[in-house]
Amino acid sequence: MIKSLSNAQRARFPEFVDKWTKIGLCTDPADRPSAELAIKLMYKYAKLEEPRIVWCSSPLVNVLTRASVLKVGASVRTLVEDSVRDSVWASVEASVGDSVRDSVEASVGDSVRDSVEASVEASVWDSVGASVRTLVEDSVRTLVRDSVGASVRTLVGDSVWASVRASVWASVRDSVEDSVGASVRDSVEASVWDSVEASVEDSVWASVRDSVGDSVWASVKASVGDSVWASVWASVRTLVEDSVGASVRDSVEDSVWDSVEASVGDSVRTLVWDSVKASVRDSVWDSVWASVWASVRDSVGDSVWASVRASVRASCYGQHDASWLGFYDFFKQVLNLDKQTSKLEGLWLLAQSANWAIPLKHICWVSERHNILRRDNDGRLHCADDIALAYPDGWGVYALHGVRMKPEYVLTPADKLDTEIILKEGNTEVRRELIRKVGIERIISKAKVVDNWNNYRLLDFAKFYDDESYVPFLLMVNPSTGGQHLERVSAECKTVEQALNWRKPEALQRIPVSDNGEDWYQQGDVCIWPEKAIIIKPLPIVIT
Amino acid sequence: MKKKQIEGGILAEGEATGHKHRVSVAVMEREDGVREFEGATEVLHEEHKTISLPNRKWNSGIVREIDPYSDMVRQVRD
Repeated sequence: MIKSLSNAQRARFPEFVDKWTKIGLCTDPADRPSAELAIKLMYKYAKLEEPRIVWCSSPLVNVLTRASVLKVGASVRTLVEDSVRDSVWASVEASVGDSVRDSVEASVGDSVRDSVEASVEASVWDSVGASVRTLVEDSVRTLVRDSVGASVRTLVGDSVWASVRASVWASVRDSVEDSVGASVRDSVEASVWDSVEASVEDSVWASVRDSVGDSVWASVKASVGDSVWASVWASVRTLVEDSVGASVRDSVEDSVWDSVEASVGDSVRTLVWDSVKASVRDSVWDSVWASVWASVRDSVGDSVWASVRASVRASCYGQHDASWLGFYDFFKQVLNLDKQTSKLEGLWLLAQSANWAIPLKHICWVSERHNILRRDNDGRLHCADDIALAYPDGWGVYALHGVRMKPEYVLTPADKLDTEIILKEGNTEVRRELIRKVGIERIISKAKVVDNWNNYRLLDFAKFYDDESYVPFLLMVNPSTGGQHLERVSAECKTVEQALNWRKPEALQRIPVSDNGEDWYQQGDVCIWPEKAIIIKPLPIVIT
Repeated sequence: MKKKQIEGGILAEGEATGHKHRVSVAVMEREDGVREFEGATEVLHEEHKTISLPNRKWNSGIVREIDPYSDMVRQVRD
């Protein structure tokens, strides 16, 4: 067993950090022959037959292709029919009268019916002959249309179709007379990543772990694995993963939301607002806005998200796996643990030649590398005026200092960004980056300062809100990063102290405060307090 | 009150950054959204400084704000 590292061996840490960071962030075109060899090696070590390999233009196309092939689209729309419609109806019925319900039902009903009608299509895999191609095309078009926004659709729609066609068309074409459903389904449903992972990674781990002492393991992990992890996994892969999901999730939420919002906006506001106003307002907003939003988000968003997550989880991340692969590379190259690490050969080669892959039983989708990748001085994805990370099909991530942004937030010059847009941005980290972009002084100059305390300021932005006389926001400094956060608080808050108390999570707010109370803690937006606390201190003992 | 286990000891996860507030012990979520965990542990985050907690049972929750569109109270989204 290797129990310690020599100084000469330790001196090679930077070499591996550099090598694997470059691999993880590489923007060269994929080395397709090497990647295909890598995939064959992966399957070989998993004792599986060589799969058909289909190239995709980005991880998003990987995911949408898998979803198309597995016909997720229909189940999503079925879910829209069953659960969202019922939630919408229940909420609307409970909140408003018959006359309003009829109007809302007419509006929402149309969009639900459209979705249901669009989902009534024969199973691609159970169809035969000439109609198969049409149905596959329709299925892909429908799924892409329903799953991603217009801009993304334009970028990747053709790519998804090309990938699906490459994945299945050959099988379908040769089976004009017979149903191809069962055989195709069997071939694509069984994800093999778990078996690849189990047969490769775990055994390598055990083998290497048995060969080196604790201090060697920890030292290489800290010096090689963790460094590359920060540069590649934490800074790049996480945002790619989130963006794959968000490209689908946000647009589904938005599209469903648009139809609900249009109905609520036009029908409820016109018919209820003026006539019943305050007496109905709370119940309508509570039920329609909060519960519909929640159910739409949870039901539709999560179901689509679940399919995306399933695809993401079924993926191996190619070059984005650089951190742990670099960690093992050190053991192979420097400590000569060739035998113990031999099963990683395929994954090492894949990482050095391509981006994400989804390995299934008889087919493996593999993505091109990103061809644009821009970061700030701290290694976070960032580009102040253009896309920060992009794939050859144009899909990618807009980001400011590691925060994923809407393209328009990045592309609009700072002096053209309206304060109102910033105030009404729903995500506090995105808001923080917008504030950083336009400058806090400009924001404050648009507000009335109500109260000051330590690093906090209570600002009134009522002039940006119709029919509101007081709209307080709490401006605060992130003690860890120095970034400035602006979060809207209740109009009950007239002082910073009241605003800080109001912001606490509901369960924490119910606990009385006293200077003699128990300590509690706050990290960013997360508060942590003792489970059995009866009285707590007014402010957290530690805030970071 | 029903509880569900949260994978990865996550107390909260950022939508726009993928960053996570996390601990190294098991985390359960109650129906009211409060997350529970137990033990002396560190609260880690990619951006915020680490907090060391003494050994006891803990609750965690996310601060609130007014939703900019609906005027409703909700958890802060980051």
